[in-house]
Amino acid sequence: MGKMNRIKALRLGIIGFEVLTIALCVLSIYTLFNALSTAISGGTMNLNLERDESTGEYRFLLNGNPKNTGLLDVTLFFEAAVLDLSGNDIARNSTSVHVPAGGANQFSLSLTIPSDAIPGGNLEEAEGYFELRFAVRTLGDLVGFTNILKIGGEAAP
Amino acid sequence: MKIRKRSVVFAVLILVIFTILPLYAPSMMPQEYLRAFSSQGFDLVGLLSKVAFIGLVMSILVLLKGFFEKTSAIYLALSIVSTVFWLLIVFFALGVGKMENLGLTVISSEAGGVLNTLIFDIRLFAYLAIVITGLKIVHSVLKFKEAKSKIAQVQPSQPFNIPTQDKPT
Repeated sequence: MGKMNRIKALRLGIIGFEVLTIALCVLSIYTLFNALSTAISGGTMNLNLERDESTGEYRFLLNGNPKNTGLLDVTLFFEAAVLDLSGNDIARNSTSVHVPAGGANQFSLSLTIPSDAIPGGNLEEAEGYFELRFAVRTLGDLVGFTNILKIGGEAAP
Repeated sequence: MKIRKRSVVFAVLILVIFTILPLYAPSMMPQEYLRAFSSQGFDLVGLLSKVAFIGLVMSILVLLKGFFEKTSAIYLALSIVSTVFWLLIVFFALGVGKMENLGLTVISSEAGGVLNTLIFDIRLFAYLAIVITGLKIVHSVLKFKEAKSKIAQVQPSQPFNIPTQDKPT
């Protein structure tokens, strides 16, 4: 192969690489936003908080059957945590679920808040933070979007 | 001094699209949109001003390239500078106005005791852009060498192209 041909081949290779990169960027961003709009909407998620009367523990339960109408597979990650006022963990749990393109998959996440972490046994009187992390990743988990909600809880007056 | 028409056309196009339009865009947008963006901590006017500046620099680079021959070392230097500048534009776009983020954008807002943090991780494309920029620089250097060698083949030894006369026999 002549020098001229090598330069042309390199030029074509660069153009191909650029086109591929742009296509992957558009496809993955489309998949992320699609997963955000469809996976967590339309009643696919169920959130429950219940108290075990015998032990006094609170149990937070998040489950769902998210759909993926995008063109690439996605991995959804859920994490729930209860933190004290200093930011130390009282309870933390996480789960992840792989949802293929055009498919759906079930997941369940439970978080148990021990009774000794709740003053007076009433969650409304407890002070601390509740943290919920939701992440969606695609393209072999190389591209992603994460949403972290940190809700501050104060004792009821 | 000659300038390639193609460079002038490209420079004007870049100036119109990336400098003039972003500078006029805020005056054409409804004020409530601008207020909504600023209330979310997103400085749209500042972002558009940065885009306008990038457009201005880019059009100057394209125009400058038009003045030099492809065999000139200055042309090669300008090619490399404009390629690196394109990489910065990619970083700027991927980082939603913040080049230093390299595609990892973190937006936080707090309201009513709720802290909401959004993280966009598209660093993969920033890394791919770095690889593409490297390849483009290699290509520019090879093209420059190729153009130089072509010139050398056309004019092998004579510094000036003086026509020679045959001696009368």
